[in-house]
Amino acid sequence: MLYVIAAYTVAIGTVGAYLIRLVRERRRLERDLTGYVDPPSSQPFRG
Amino acid sequence: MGTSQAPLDRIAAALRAPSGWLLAAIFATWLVAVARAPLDSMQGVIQKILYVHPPLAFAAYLGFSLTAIGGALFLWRGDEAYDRLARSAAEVGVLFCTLMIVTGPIWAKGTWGRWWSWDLRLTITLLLWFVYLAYLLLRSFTEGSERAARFAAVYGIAGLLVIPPNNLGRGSLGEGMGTPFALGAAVCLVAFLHLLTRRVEIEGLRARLAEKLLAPRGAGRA
Repeated sequence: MLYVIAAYTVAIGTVGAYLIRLVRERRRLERDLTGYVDPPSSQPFRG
Repeated sequence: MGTSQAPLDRIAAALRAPSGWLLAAIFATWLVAVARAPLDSMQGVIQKILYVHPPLAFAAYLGFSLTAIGGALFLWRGDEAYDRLARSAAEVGVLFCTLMIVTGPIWAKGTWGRWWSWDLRLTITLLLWFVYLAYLLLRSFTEGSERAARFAAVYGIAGLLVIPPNNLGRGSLGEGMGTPFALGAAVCLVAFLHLLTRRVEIEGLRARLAEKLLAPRGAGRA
């Protein structure tokens, strides 16, 4: 029974962890894409 | 080679939510079916691993087949979106292949009393895993190179030759074991589809971000 639990835990846990990684990566990229600002050197001086 | 929201990215975005909901629904049903499945008279409870191990293999083979198809389309059409599909399918395929290689020895230990046997089929399966792992390493070392993408496409197509042909359609199932097995196959294939759609979307977002960062300053502003 231990082997069965180990096999299912590894399979489901790994797929779940990969899914979470993909969700976080997508959120980060969407944030970067929508919230992108030019580097300070290109912005007009604001005194 | 435009990167702004290619048709493939739109398809991936459209499939993401339905595949996720479908996965959630059949995943729970599958777990119940596995728990309620009758015990095998020969192997006992350890046989329940076979409701997840072969389905993982199906998903891995699907991933590698899509890598080859995406690579072939990239070579034919030259559209970067197909290359992104190939790369995404390879990554998700390697994930499922890794799980297949991990769950197989767990079943073998419980059934044969040893973790691994160097027979032809298992050795070829291990080789298949190395082939597509090398594909991913190649892609990560040569990010953004079109020449490397073309080489990887050929490599991804050639890698299909390593899929063990005798893995499909092996053995038979006892009474009451067909449903959990079929559900296991469905769960793995839908999980594969869901992860692939997310991975393709990420590749599309990366390409759009790179395009935006490389665009001339001030371009696109009103």
